[in-house]
Amino acid sequence: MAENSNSRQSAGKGAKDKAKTMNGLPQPQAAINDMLGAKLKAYYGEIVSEPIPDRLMALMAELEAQSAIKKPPEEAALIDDGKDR
Amino acid sequence: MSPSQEFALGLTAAIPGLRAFGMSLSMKADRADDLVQETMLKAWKHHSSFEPGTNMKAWLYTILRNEFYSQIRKRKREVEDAEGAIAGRVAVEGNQLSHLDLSDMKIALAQLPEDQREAIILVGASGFSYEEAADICQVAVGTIKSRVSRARMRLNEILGLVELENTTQNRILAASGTLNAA
Repeated sequence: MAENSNSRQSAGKGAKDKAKTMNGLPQPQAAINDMLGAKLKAYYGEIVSEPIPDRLMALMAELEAQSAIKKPPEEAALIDDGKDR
Repeated sequence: MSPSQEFALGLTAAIPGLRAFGMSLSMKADRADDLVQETMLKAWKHHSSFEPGTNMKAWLYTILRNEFYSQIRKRKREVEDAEGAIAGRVAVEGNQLSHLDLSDMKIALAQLPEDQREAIILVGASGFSYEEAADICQVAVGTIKSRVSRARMRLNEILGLVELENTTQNRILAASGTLNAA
């Protein structure tokens, strides 16, 4: 893009003069951030795609079973109420 | 489908993402699963306080995040109460990361302060908007934006995506004459 050369040209003049992309960032910086974004999503996606551990699946099944007989989960009584910030 | 079945379905669907968020906060797999477990129990217990139709994912991430910081505070108190030797050992254990099997990104993320790490993960990886991330972290949108921007700058440096002398910060300093004046 044409903004690329503008960006280089004005690099020494000050941030205000830099050409902006749609993200409001100088072109090279936006490209770097895109690269970083892809790496972050790859890192995160790898964890997301891991199978759910058995103990969490078992807990889910237990919670559903307990709610079916209208009894609150016993574990819930042992933990605090989330107001502890 | 009953509301509680729908809730259970939503909770189950959120588990993989919650694990990834928990992992990114704690940087440890076993702690991440503990956090998810506590989140599931709390969510289930308080599920009447969730308004159907609102953002369940953000609600669950908020619970997990609160649980993480509440555990950190508890641990801190425990460490402070313990004798020096034990306290020291606990602290080292907590900071130790096995560098053998970690991806570059994980190592880089571990070097960020927690507030920047959670901001960049929520916005850059979990797909939340700045506004949603601000709600989850209970800070102003501008605060999230500046944390994300600082996290990006830092990660770009650590991962070698930019030359150190070419960082945004240094370019701005150079442009304003601060560096040249030295």
